[in-house]
Order: sequence, then structure tokens, then C-alpha cells
Amino acid sequence: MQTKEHLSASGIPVKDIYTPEDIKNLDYDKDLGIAGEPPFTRGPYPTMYRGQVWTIRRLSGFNTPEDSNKLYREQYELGQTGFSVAPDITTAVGVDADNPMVEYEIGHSGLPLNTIEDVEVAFDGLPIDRVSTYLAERGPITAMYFAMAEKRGIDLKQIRGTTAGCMLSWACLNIPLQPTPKGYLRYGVDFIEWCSEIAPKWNPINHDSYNPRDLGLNAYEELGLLFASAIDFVEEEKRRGRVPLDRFVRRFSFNTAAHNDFFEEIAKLRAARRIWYKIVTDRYGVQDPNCAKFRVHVQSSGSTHTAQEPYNNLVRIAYQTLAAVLGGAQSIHANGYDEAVCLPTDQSMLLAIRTEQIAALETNVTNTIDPLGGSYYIESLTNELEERTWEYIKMIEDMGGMAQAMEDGWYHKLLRDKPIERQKKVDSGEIPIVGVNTFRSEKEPYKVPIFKPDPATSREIQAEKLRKFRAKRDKAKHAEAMKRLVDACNSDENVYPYTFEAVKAGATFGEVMKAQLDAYGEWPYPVGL
Amino acid sequence: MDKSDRKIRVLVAKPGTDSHYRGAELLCQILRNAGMEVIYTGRYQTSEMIVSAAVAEDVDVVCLSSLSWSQDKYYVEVANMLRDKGSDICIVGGGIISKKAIPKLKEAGVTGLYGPGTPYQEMIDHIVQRVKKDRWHES
Amino acid sequence: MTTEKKEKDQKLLNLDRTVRAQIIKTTTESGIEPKATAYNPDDLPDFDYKRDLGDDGDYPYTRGLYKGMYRNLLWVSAQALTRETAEKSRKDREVVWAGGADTVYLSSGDVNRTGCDPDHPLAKYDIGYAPENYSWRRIERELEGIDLEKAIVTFHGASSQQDDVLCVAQLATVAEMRDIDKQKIRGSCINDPISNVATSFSVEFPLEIGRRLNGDLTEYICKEMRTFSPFAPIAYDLWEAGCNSVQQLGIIMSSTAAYCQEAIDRGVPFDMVGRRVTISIASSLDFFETVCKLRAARRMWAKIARESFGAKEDKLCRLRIAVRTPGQTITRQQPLNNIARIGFQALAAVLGGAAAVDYARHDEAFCIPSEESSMITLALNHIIGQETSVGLTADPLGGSYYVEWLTNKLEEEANILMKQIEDIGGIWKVAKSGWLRQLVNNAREERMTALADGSMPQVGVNFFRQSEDKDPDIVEYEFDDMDKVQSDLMDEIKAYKDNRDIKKTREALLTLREKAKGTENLMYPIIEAFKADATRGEILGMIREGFGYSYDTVDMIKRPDFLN
Repeated sequence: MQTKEHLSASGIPVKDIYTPEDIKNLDYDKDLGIAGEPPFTRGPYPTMYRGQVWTIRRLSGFNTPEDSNKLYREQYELGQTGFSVAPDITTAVGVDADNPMVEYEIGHSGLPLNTIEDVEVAFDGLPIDRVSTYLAERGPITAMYFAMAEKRGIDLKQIRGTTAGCMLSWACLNIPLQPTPKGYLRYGVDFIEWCSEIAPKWNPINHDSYNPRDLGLNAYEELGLLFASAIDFVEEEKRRGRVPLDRFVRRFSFNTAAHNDFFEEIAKLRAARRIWYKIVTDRYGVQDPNCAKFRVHVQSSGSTHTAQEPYNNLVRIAYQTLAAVLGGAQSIHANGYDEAVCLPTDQSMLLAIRTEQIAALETNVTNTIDPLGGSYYIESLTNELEERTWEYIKMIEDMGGMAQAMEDGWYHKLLRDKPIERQKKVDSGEIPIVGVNTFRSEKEPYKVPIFKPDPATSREIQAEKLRKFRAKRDKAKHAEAMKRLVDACNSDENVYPYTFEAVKAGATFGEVMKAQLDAYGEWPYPVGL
Repeated sequence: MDKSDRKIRVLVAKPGTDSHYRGAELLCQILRNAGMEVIYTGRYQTSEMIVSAAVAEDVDVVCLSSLSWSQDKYYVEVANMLRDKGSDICIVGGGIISKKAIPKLKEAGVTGLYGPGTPYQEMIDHIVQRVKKDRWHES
Repeated sequence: MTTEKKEKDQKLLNLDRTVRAQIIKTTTESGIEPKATAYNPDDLPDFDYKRDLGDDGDYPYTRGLYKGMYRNLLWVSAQALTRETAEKSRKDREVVWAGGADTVYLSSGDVNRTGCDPDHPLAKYDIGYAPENYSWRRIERELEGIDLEKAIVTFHGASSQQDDVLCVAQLATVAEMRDIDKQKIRGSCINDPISNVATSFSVEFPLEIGRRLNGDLTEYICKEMRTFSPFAPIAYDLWEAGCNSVQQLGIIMSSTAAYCQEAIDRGVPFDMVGRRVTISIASSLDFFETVCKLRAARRMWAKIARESFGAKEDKLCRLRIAVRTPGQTITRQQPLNNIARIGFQALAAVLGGAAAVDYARHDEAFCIPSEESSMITLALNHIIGQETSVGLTADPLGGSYYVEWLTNKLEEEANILMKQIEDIGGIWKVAKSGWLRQLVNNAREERMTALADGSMPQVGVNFFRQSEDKDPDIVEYEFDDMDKVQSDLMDEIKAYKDNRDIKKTREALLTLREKAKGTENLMYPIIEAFKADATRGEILGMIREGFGYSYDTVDMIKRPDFLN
């Protein structure tokens, strides 16, 4: 029951068999190389999982910093090997929890992190000196995290982790109080400059295509967006000329979504590594190949999970995880099978972690590097995805770059149109989804437990904390630090040294974000197209 | 384990047509390593054969191993036959025990009921405990 | 339902990632250690595409048996399902067929496999959990209303060759009695006495009888049921007994060749027996070994067919591989983990070019499969076929340096084992002498040690264990009132025996025993005996006596009076 044209999920025609003929122009040293060496197609590190297994890192958080701290401890005990913090809507919007605009959203699908105390509670007792943390925010919370680390006596030059900072996913949320894309870019580049100096082992940006991919983009469109966005950042720094480019790009990190087309997902990561290497070295002339490594966190794609027959999602997630492993991901988030229904229950969270562990410990796929390298199909598909990605990048560049394309409304139009396109294909059956439009059961064969967090009280708790926090801070110090921060935002100085001082002087997250926002004004989304 | 020289004598038996032998053989090995004397009847035993072997060998405990759905019936039958003979030989059972069967088994005096993946020491400790209490009548 | 309230010290967690994020096992399941850096063309210095791989549908079939492979037709999807009665089995099988399973998958229970009729004293409480097909009329009930000329009927659950033989004989009986063209029935049976002896998964049964029956059954099928596969040697059992991929390959290639030879020795040309050679192999958790094992098996068989049996036509060099996901890897602890395991195993089977995938269920460590777990694996099969796009191209892993290297390595190591077997005197000899049993026993020891000491990790069992009361409740299958099922069965068999034409039955059985002493093909007198309402136990007993053995496989009952 294949479609007549036999296309991959991204629409690439697939032949019935691939042979040496299909890759006769493959130059091993030039196109593949040894893992850990240019062009990194086979992996960014020489021993890959033989040296160290990928990080099991699940984006999570809910209700309050206290509840989330318990969750993080539990996940760590179950076997997770990295922390990943999902802040709630207040963070995405950029306000404090007592702002009336976000009255009903506190603690939903993330935790509120408004002050340095919140961050301290969330990370209480967690070995952040030895385990890396991913923070899904733009910079101020990371500043708080660094301040907390300093207090704990941790050397910032050694601390590891990642700050999100990328606009691709943020822009998909269509939330209020966002600066313009150019403003976003400005602050992002500020953060990278600052972070690369004070915390050189921290990943100051995580280019993230997860949300757009989930809305219906295909594999090469995903990569195209990812790299166009990364290029914007490099171009901005090139224009500024403040930091040498090799130091600037050295710790760029990436985040992608794993979809159902098993081999596409594997080939995609291989192509991405080769593409990024070429961008950094060929295009920007950076000599040190260590600055050109595409290091990626992969999350299984929520849009592929169904509310019908949720246990089927365990299978999908297993395959998406395996594809990420065979593609050489550095860190993986396997979703809970109930992702389409609710926040993960204890059971689904456990199963997600166990699935990663089964892949790591039982399947033995880890004991060799890039096991699919050389496969006629995989190499052909890698080449094809690379080619199409370059075309997509060029298309965005011709529009003036990613930030410009966003300001012109192109991105939002794409995000509006793609899901419609995809839904049409699902409705017509062109995209088969087991249990939904094909092989449906007459009745639901089983029930699964549902998680219902109760964040109703989070708002009260956080509001009270904020009140106390603001009351006890040194008002003079705070006011002065804030003034300096505001001035920096309004100039072209790097705002982050001032942000760091401000949070240490008791600035809340909302206050910092407001300073950033006011310098650019709120971006009215180009949604009425 | 037992400090005196007295060794626990065990009969490991497989009732009925269930053909899985690995669990039983592993059990024999574990118990021997723990210092017990183990006699294995092999597969394909009727309840009568098991009871008769247990009495003839004068064992302290019979360990029944079965992976079929009928195990509760055999285990209960063996336990009852021994009871009818006035014997206080203990019965311990293992395998994949259905939750519904557990009360009937306990009532007949069959204990243990260990499934696959049970740590060995747990099984050993249980057998020792039961034998000392119900067969050797030590406190 | 947040995390449980635990009394936790607010102290630093003391778990170091650089320690826990290490791979524990750097060898494959068969103990092969891949190099620590990536494989590249230098690792295949002698590689020749046409000689070593060929395209899909081309000799030596490494890349798959047919052009286009799954683009034209997906693999067969199979699930075993038996219930207490033929009617219940049928009802639940219909659900599973509607959900996408492709085969009429019949399996015998413990009672039949042991060679007992339901009224055998040993079987007292075991009867009734599977269809007790003591007579041909009982199996007819399972096949009621099915167009046998269009279905695929398999007897793959049997680990007991004599049971296999009787199953096929009953199938043939049904066909003859219902006027169905036997030549059109597709399917397969295991018919593998050598694995039975090596693994001892069922009752000990004399190998010489097994050998005779094996040849008779093969010959019979080649003549009378040409679209049925005469055997599918069960490397799966070898895996379950502890053997690794190399051992499975080495032993099963030897057995398969031996069974072909048995037929040839009876005058069946290789042209006939080679047409439908099938093996049943286990998909283990070692992902790449599974893929490479299938590729190696096809290439090995192609060479054996051509070089040892002189097959001229390429078609006669094909090996069909039915892959089963193993029950041994299904854990009782954290049972939902098993869904991912089955998923990985099935995917590996498909990537290796399996002709059929036979699924375990995630709750097998608890009870017989429930409807829920069956639906999950059915959906799993569809997800591979319809969502992952892996079926769009044949042998997608072909050309990968590691995969080609590992395929070569497995073939190489298996060949060493095959040669070793040859040097000792051949597979029949090593099966008879106990050498094979010893090999399997040693393998089993090794695996059990590895599981016990954690060098073979099993998540939830020897790693990341947790209290079982955190596990989800598995809904256990509700059996009928088994006391009633069992007593009904006893009444039924008694009535059957009382009401048959005992003279005819006696005559047919005694004829069978006579023929067992000779060299004629026993399938014909077995079928006659079934038609004369003989039971399985009686038929088996007569064959055993013909060979000079006791009547009963477990030496508990005597030959019934009417046969004296």
C-alpha cells in the first residue's frame, strides 16, 4: 500500500534499490571522513557512543520551582543524564507571574522562573557542576543560573549547559510582548558574545527547528530554516566585529525534531553536519574545525503522536529515538506516549526514559560509529537532503535573511499554510496515520492514565514570592542596576554584563525582559495576511 | 544460612506437561550452591509421582515449578495429598502465577510463588525460613 | 498524579554522568567486538558488489529475494493466538485478522506437544488451554469456514517435530475429507527434529523416528502439497535456548541442508524440495546482528543450494526467512518497556528483508496475549509498514561498511561452525551424540551468567529495577471455567472413542505400526489412521512401537486394549 510515486516524507522520490552506481562519485575522505574529523558527516566525535552514550534529557517542568525540583530529582534517579528546563508561558512572554496578562497560565506546561530565588529552588540539590542543563529561554534566566552557580562556588569557566535563544520556535508561539526579530537577534548576539567570554563551555545558543517542523515543514525545510537562522547570527557578529568568529560560533548548538520517516531522519543529521561544516569553514573562513561541529539535541516529534491508541506512540517514539541514535545525536528527548493528550504522567515519563535506555543498553547499536555510513541509500539520501537544504537556505538569503523574512511576514505565512497542507494530506489518507486514518479500531482498545496538574495555586504562590522578593531587595542598588541595563538596551552596548549585575541586584525576570522589549517595541505579528 | 550440619533436603519437581526446564534447573543449581541437597524429578510428573518421591526421599520441602496456566491445580493437589498423608513437608511454588490463583494456593499452604526475574537470595531465604518453621519446628 | 511524596534530604545527588553514561557492552550478542572507530571502505578490501550482494531479486539474494521487495508486497504479519476452545480461538483470531494479521496460525499446546491425548493421566489439569486436536475433526473446527486454498496456514509454534507431523497430517486429512485441493494450500511447518534434540524444549523423542518422519513429511509435502513449505527449521528455538547468531546460522544451515538431503535420498529432486526452503529465526535485541544475520543467511543458503545441491536455476537458491520476536526478551518487570523492544526487533527484521514477522506481545510474561496487547503489536506492524517509509527501498542498509562487514563476519564464523560439524560427522551425528545439546547448554549457561551479572543488560531486570507495585496493572486473560472445559473435554474424548468404528481404527493403526517397521512413507497410513478416527496419542504410539520403543512418550500408560 505504498503511494504510486514512492516518495519519502519530504517528497524525495525513492528508488526501489540503491547500488554503488548511485554513489559512484562519493569521495570517502571529502564527503564522509572519519567521525570527529571534517566534514563530520559520520559524527562530531571520534568515538561517539563508544566514548559516551547520548544524554537522556527531557524538557520538563510544571507548577512551581519546588514541584519541578522534585521532578528533576526523580528523573535523574530514573536514569536521565541531563537537565532540561521548560519554563512556563510567563517566560515565553517575558513577564513576572503576577502580571495580570498571564493570570491563568502560571505553571502550565512549564514552570515559572521569575527571580534568582526561583532558579535556586528549581536547582536545589542538583549537581549542576557535573550535569549540563538546557534552559529554554533567551538569556536572563541563564544570567540568574550563572549567578546561582557563582554563589555555589562553581567556576563559570567550566559550567556546561545550553541557552535556547533562537527565534524560530519562539515565533511559532504567537505570544504577545515579543521584540521585533531584529531586536531578538540583537539580544541573542549580545548573549553569545558575553557568554562565550564568561562561560566558554556553555552553549550560548540553540538553533531550534522543533516547532516549525511540528507544524508541517519537511526535513530539508527544517534544516534550511535552522541554518538560515544560524547564518543571521553569524552575519550580525561579522558586522559588529567584536568577537572573533571562531569563538563566536564555536558552541553553537542545534535542536531538531525526529519524525516518522526513519531513514530521512538519519540522513538529515548526517547532511546537517556536513552542511554546517561547510558554512563555518568555507563561507566564514573559520580555520579551526572544532568550531564547525553540528551538535544536536533531538526530540521526538509531538505532531506524529496520536490521541487515539496512545500506546502506539511508544512505538513511534522508539523508532524516532533509534533514528536519532543512528543519526548521531548528542542528546535525545523521547516524548511520553501521552504527549498528544496531556503532560507526561509518571508512567509515560518512565517509559520514555526506559525506551532511551533500552536503545542504549540492549540493542547494541552504540558499539559502532555511524553504522549506516556507506549504505547506498543513506548516502544518496544524505546527498539529496543536503542539496535541497542549500536551495532552501539560498531562498531565505535572497529574502534578506531569516530575521528580515520574519519581519516581512514570510515565516508566519509559512507557519499558517503548512499545517493546512499537512492536514489535507492526512484527511485524504496520503499521509497514513495508524489508528487515525488507517487501520482504525472500532473502539478504543484500552485506556491510559491522564495527568492533570493543578497549577491553580501556582499563581498565588509565585505572586507572594515576588512580593516578598521585591520587598527585601536593596532598592537603591536595584534601581541603579536597572538604569544601567535600560541604558545599555537603548544603546548598542552588550546588555548582558548589565543583566548579570541587575539580576544579582534583585531584578526580576519580567523587569529585565521589559527593559529589552522597550528598546525595540512590541512586534505586531504579521498574522492578518 | 543454617549453622548446624543439618542440610535442607529439597525435591524440585515439574508437574504436568509443561516443558520449560530452565527455571527448574536453575533453581536446583541455586539451591545446591546455597548448601542444600537437591533432588530433581525432571519433567512430566503426575502429582502422585511427586508426592511419592517426596515421601520416599524424605525431603523437607518440595519446590514446584510450572509455567502452565494450570499450575495452581497441581500445586494444590500435591499440597493436599501430602497433607492427607499427614506429612509436614513444605510446598513452595514458582512460575508465572496468575493473581487470581494466589489466595487458593496460600490456603493450601503453597508459598513463595516467585515469578521470573526474582533475585535468587529471596527464594533461598524464603525456603530456609519455611523449612525451619514448618518442618524443623525451630523458632 | 505528581511524583510521590518522598522524604528526601535536600542534599546533593551523587550520581556522576560520566560514569553512568558509558556503554556497558561493546560486543554484539555473538561476542563480536566491532572496532572503536567507524567502518570504512578499507574494512571491505575484497568487496565485489555482484558477487557478494547482487541486486534485490538476484543471486545470491543478500539484498532480498524479490525485485522491489516490500514496495510490491509487505512482509507477512503473524501472531500466535490460542484460546480454550476452537470457537473462542476463532473469534479472537478474527479480530486479529481484521487488524492485519495474515496467517492462520495454529499451534499445539503442551499436551499435544508431549504426545498425549487429553485423557492421559499426566495431562490432567493441563488440558483445555489450547485446542486439543486429538482427532482430525477437532482441527477441522479451527479451520471451519476458511477458504484454505487462499489462506496461509502455519504450524510455527510447535517445538516438537512429531507434533508438527501430525498437525500437517490432520490438515491433509481435513483437505481430503472436505474435497479441498491440497496442492493449493500454502503455509509451512517446522519439521525440525534436530533443533528439538538440541534444545529439548519438548519431550525427549527418539531422533531416529524424528529423522524418518522428517523425510516422510518433506517427501509427502513435495508431492501432495506443493505450495506448502516442507520445513522451516527453527533457529528461533536455538536462540531461546541460549544460542547467539553465529550458532543459529551455523546449526540451521546444516540442518536445512540435511533435510533437503533426506528428501533427495528418498528420490525427491532438489528442484522440488529447494523451491520453498524456509527457516524460522529469532530477531534478537541486537539490532545490527539481526539485520546482518538475515542477509548472511540468504547468501549462505544461496551458495549451499548452488554449490552443494547443484541448483542451476537462481530461483532454487532462495531462502525465505520467517522472523519471530523472542519471548525471552519480554520482561515481567515494567512490561510496557516490551513494546519498544518488540518494535526494535521487528524493525530490524524488516530491514533485514524478512519474509514474515511473527510477533510476541508485551504482556507475555504475565498471561496469554490479551486483545489489548495483540492490537498494539498489530498497530506496530502497520506503523513500520505505513509510517516509517522503511519499505520504500529494498535492503536500505546495503552498502553500509559496518553492515557489510558484520554480514561477512557472521557468515565467516557460521561457516567455521558448519565445518566443525562436518568434521565431526555431520549434523545428524552431532545431534544424536549429544554434542549439539552440549553446545546449546553451554550457550545457555553463558547467557544466563551474562544476565545475572549484568554484562548483558536488561532494563528493568538487571538495570534500573524498581518496585513492581509501580508497574501498570496488566489485565490478565479470563479463562472460562476450566473445570467445566476440562470435564467436557474428557467426556468428549470418551464419547469419541466409544462411538468410532473400533475395527476400522484398529486395522488402520496396526497397519501403521507395520509400515513404521519398513521404509514406506508414513504420512499416508497416518492420514488413513486419522480418517479411521484414531487419536494422536494412538498414532504416535503405533509409530513408536514400530520402531521398537514403548508406546507412551512419557512411559506412563500402556497400549490400549483394543490394539492388543
